[in-house]
Amino acid sequence: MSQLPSGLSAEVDSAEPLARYCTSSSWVAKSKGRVKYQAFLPAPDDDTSVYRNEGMSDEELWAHADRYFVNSEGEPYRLHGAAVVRASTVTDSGIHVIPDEGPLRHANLRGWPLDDDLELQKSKRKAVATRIASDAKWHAKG
Amino acid sequence: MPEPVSIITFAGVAVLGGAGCLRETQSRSSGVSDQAGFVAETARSLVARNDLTASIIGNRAEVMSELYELADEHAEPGWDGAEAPAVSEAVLERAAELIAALPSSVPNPELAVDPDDGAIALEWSDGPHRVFSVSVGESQRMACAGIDGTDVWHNVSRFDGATVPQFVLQGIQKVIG
Repeated sequence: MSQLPSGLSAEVDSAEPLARYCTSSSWVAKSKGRVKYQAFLPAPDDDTSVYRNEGMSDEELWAHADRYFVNSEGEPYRLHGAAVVRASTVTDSGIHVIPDEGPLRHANLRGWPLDDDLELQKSKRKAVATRIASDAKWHAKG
Repeated sequence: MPEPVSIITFAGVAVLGGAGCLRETQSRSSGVSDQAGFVAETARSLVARNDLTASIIGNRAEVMSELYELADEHAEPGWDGAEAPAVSEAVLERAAELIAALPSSVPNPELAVDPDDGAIALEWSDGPHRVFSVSVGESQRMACAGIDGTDVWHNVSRFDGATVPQFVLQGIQKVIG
């Protein structure tokens, strides 16, 4: 089985955790630590960017973000935390996990519903993201 | 700094709004008589459309403040680390309209910003597996989705700026019972 530059397998195991770095304070319910669906809703390019964080402590997760989750000037984005979910939750919802190592450990969640009616498309994507978020755990950045 | 929510009294009727509301009021009020007419008309319209009584304003003031803070936090494109659009004034105003139109029996929603189009989502939940949300964008059509255990549903609902669609009210009822 082929290895990626990070040393991770090119094939994502169903038990692997996937971390979505969250830049919006609104993506977690303040009082309950519940992850909201926005954490997994794809960007306008139709991908949701995640990092494969198997074996990483939270400290390592934040250090990884400081190095790889950066803007065009190389400055890290301000993080509120990360939403972490098993790969099986994603794939069981009909979404593919595609390793894409520009940044090490990076992967895209791809295969979101498409529809000519953009609002209907969005409602379908919200439903999928809501299902994924319901099984996600919130890791607050201290 | 987020702009504070303003509560203004017009002809004995309290009207809730942010700075955008104030600006609109000022720009549309060119003279004293015009202003009085506009104020009275606005007050009557708000009361009729949204049942905006003082008690409701008390219930919604906190979430209205959160709305303006949220818009401030997401005022620049790319806030998600990718290509997320900024929250626009039009989205902000429509979200405020929907909040104001909620029946008094409906609890305040939680708010969040969608990364795909900068829509503001109003969300009600009773735990992670009982959630209903509606995304308010620039058009009248709103994407809705919910989960109740393993049951997931979605639809598009139309908001005319005054009356909360039945589908939305039913979705809220389903998750918070």
